Amino acid sequence: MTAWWIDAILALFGSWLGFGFFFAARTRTQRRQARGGRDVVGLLVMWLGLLLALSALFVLWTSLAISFVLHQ
Amino acid sequence: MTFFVVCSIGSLLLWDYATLRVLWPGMQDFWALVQVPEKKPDELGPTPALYRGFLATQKARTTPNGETAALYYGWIEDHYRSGRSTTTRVLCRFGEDEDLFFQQGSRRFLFQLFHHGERIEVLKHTDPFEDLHRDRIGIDLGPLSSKEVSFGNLPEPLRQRCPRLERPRGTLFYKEMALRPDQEVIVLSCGQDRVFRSCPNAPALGFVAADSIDYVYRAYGNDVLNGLRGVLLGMAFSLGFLCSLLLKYSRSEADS
Repeated sequence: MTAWWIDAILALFGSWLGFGFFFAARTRTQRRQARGGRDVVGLLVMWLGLLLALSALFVLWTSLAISFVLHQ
Repeated sequence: MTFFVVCSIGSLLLWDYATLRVLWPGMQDFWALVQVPEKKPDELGPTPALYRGFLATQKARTTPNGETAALYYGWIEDHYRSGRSTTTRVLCRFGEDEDLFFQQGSRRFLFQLFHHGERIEVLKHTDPFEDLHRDRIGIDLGPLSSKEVSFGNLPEPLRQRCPRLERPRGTLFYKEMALRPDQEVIVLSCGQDRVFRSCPNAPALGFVAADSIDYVYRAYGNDVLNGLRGVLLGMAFSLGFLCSLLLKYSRSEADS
């Protein structure tokens, strides 16, 4: 397979980091909204974190797709 | 702060570029490559196809390791310490890959896949990220053989091929890849006047693979993926830094 385990580690790292930021920012945004405030930075971090996590999963998906094509 | 914001936006743009401009055409080429049909040499034509057979020469060739080969590549590496890491440099390179025939049964065809100025890439099987770009002729002869040699006591075949070898800074290694005449090859090629030639307008220029094409296809796949892996790593670091700065800065602002 196309070094899929390296891509799995990369995806794990990227999605851990991305989802970590996403959930940290979401918790903070929800707290601020509960107090009646707005949290623009929290929303921005949520969006960036999600983008990072999805990009990492996209790399893994591409790697697995290539491996699948080679072994079909 | 501005620097990291710029870096982060830059990495996002790089990601878009990598996915839209590099990955998508790369995946299309890769898909077209794995769909290339296998044909018999009698059907050799202008469209790319896979052919199974043997490579032969008029005169037998012997490698510096003493093996009979249809074609071979060899080089001498100098491995030396440079600071805390080990650096490798190639001191001498040679090989014999001219005047080849593609043979299947009693039929013989001139084999000129990489004899008209094409750039070749010999796959070394030493790196899980080893890649092969479509505009190069890939040559996969299996894992390479490596042995330590001494500068003062260099074997005669190596001395003949590298008469002016530079004095090494570290340890010398002789590395060799060879294709035995009885080893089956799979070739991606086009044909012109019953001669095996490269395919300039195909998903790949061509390749020669001994025994199996899996590794060559993996190398083509890595060529698509390596850019994406690098961009992802860059993005992870720059976005990670930007997000932690943003969270920290806005938190301290809210606390004050």
